[in-house]
Amino acid sequence: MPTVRLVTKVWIELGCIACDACETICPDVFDVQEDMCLIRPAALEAAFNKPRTELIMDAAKECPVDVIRFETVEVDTTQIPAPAPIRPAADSISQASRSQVTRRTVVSAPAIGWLALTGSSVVGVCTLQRFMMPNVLDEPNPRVPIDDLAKYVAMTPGSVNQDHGSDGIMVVRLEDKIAALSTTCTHLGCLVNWLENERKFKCPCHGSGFRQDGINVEGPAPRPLERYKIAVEQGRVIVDRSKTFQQEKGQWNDPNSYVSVSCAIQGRRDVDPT
Amino acid sequence: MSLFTRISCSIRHSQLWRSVFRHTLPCDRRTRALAVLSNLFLHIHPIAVRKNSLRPAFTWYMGGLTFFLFVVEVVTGILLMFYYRPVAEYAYRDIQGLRAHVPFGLVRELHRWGAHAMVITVWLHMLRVFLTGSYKPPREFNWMVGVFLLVLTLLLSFTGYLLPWDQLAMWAVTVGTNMAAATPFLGHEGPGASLLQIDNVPLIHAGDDVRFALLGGTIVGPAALLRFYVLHCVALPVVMIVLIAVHFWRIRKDGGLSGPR
Repeated sequence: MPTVRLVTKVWIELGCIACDACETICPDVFDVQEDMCLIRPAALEAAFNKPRTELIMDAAKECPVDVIRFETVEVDTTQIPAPAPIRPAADSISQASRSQVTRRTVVSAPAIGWLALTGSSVVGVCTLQRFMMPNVLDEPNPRVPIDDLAKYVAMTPGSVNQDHGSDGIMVVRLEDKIAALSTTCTHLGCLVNWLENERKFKCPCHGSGFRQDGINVEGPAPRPLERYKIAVEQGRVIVDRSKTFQQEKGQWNDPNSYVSVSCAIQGRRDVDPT
Repeated sequence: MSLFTRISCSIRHSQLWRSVFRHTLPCDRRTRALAVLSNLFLHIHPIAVRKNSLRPAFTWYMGGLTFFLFVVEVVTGILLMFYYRPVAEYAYRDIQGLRAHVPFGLVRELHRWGAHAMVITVWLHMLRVFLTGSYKPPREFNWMVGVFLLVLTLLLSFTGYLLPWDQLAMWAVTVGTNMAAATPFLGHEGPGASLLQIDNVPLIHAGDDVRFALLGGTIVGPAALLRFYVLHCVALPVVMIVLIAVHFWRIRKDGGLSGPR
């Protein structure tokens, strides 16, 4: 026969600190006064049913000084008495005010509130996302005019010019080309140094190494150094750091990624036939 | 009755005294509970503490040590804010000045050592919670809050790293934010970013990805310094304090410190 445990009697021992925990949990039974807690008189005589049993046990568990005591009894589930009204009508919500809260208001009022909150949150997040991304940056001009073309034509093939290293540019002289290598390591963005004795670019952060033409040969760097867009304007070499060319994408064949030395000499002869 | 007794008696019976100390000295079970419950700073303690869980060998006191170090970081951090200007022209000089011009500029080292120690104690605290099985129900939600606190601790360390504005700071944050550029979908070098494009125009590029939002630009420059300063001194600590409050409150609601029963 299925049975349940019901509380039949509840009382409070000495030592109550009137903390309000029990009345918050089970206001039907406990009545916390200024400096003590009482069992409501109506509750003393009531035959307690199952829901109140659990609330009373919860209240006893939450009591910080453990002064709530109760007695329990096993009862056949088929014989649970019907819940009896305990609290006086004046304490509970009156019938008049209860009838004003219809099912419709219960559903619609929170729905409008939640919709407004969700909407304003979405707008707020989007606004914040835009706010954190400025339109104008106080950063160096990506377009750097470096020295005259003649200076770089005169370089021996295989050499590196570091005059504009502080702008993140190393000009390398290849067999028939002049290219502007980016000194930003392709691993995690530190600046590489040119080591003349070892003839390679070396990154101080994690040890990546690159050949003179920018191809990665050692360390964690996954791809060669990038080359900047390079052009000649009135004999002056202009490097545009906003446009890069990547070897692994086959972009080093792009005519904007290098200056041809033979063409440069040819061009100079066209202008000055000496 | 001596004069002293009469004065002390009248003070202790005055309305002012009794409004501050609202109960007698904690001498029995009831007044001890009252002392804890009626005090904001003590009421975070659970109703009852098991004797076992107070053994240092059980908790290593790591949670408490972490909180202590957080308080140290807040206090020394506020002191440092009196001298430090998060502007590219001044930041490095101000840090050097703390060493050279300020009596007890050691506060800066305390802040740094405390930060290192806090990361260590957070890990040890997590290790202890894992080894004692204290992450199990009903404490699994508090474990989750703790994971967020770990992430916040690491973020505070990372943002604080840039503020000395020296070579180490510069390149450490360059490396760190380049890792952020590899975030899936949100970083322009991350997996999935190349999928987000319309007519070959990328939606996620170096000018609008998560790295850009962190740095306030495309390089580690003055904008990044100011951004990291605000994150380090205001935004992250506020979130941290809220989550610490939730963490402590959950300890109490989940039945206090775990322990052998």
